[in-house]
Amino acid sequence: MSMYQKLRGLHLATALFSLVFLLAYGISAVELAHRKWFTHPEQSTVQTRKLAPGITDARVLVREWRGELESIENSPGVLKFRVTTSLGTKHEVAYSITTGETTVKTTTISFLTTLAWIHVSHGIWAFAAALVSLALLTLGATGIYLWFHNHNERWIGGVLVAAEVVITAALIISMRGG
Amino acid sequence: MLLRLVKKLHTYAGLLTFLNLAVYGVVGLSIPFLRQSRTAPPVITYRNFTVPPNLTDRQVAEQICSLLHLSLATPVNQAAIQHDAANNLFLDFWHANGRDQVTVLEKERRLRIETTRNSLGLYLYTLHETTAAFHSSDWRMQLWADYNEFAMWCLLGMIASGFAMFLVSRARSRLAQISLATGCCLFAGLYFWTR
Repeated sequence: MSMYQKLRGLHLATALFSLVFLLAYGISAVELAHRKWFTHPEQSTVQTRKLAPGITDARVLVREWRGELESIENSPGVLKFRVTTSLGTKHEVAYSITTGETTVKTTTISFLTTLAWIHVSHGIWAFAAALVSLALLTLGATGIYLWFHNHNERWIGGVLVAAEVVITAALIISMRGG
Repeated sequence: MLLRLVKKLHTYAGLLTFLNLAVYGVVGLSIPFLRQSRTAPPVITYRNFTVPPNLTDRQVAEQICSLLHLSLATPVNQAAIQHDAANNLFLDFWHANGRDQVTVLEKERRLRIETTRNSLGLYLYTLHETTAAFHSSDWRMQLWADYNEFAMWCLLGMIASGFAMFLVSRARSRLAQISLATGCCLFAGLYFWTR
């Protein structure tokens, strides 16, 4: 197998492996850049649960839900707190300390907004972003090789890529200077 | 014929946005480490400045922006114009290179400038998220923003054209099928696990 065939296989496999991630980042980039173009509907459901009474620490109760404990409000006899998952689903919990009666309002966001959360999320999604970024850089490097191998398009492609690199690099360096 | 055209578009879109896509890649790779890198500690300097009479706060802010060569912070955002506890004009300029907080000490006829410079990672992070929706008075930033918008759409175009080429010419490749299935499963697994 020639180098060209190997790199073409790598380009294809990398692109297909990262396809859904790249699509998610690409669509969410449009969503983040042009928020006014889209609506951001939310859906809420309310559920009641019975938990063990007498708990006064929200950190103990929060183990019932996955996500980040974001706010705690301690009013007499009632413990209220909010838990948000990595992808924006919110659980607003009101827990009665005396009876253990718990009301949970769960708010879910639209698919598009979820993609935007993926784009900016930390934790495991930041590592997913790093993996996809590595894939993107691999696609760029192999793509350049594949294009260069095609002799008919070297000249016009060379002019385009040189112009792009010079202009954008000049902008990046010049703006870094202030 | 159509496939050749799609391949050409795919190639040229990639060549025309090569460096922008590389910036996306570098930023994405650095995200897990950005929290640790953050910024250098602020540097405080003083500079002589006499406020001309009968200028509005905005006009003063614009003069200071020009004096300090903060064109990346223009047009001056309304939120940047504030007053501190002693009622001095306080200007909070955010830009791609970091932040300059300027206190206008009118009686002393000088400026107190607190400069926080972004690390290279944060600078590139800001650039990668700057698109045509952003309006800057600095022509370099506006040009970058417009070009970055173009790169964002090109990326979507390359995803679509690449997938179309796969369907037409390489759909039977076992390696391609396994790669696609693995990526889809990984995404779906992460999505449902973290939702």
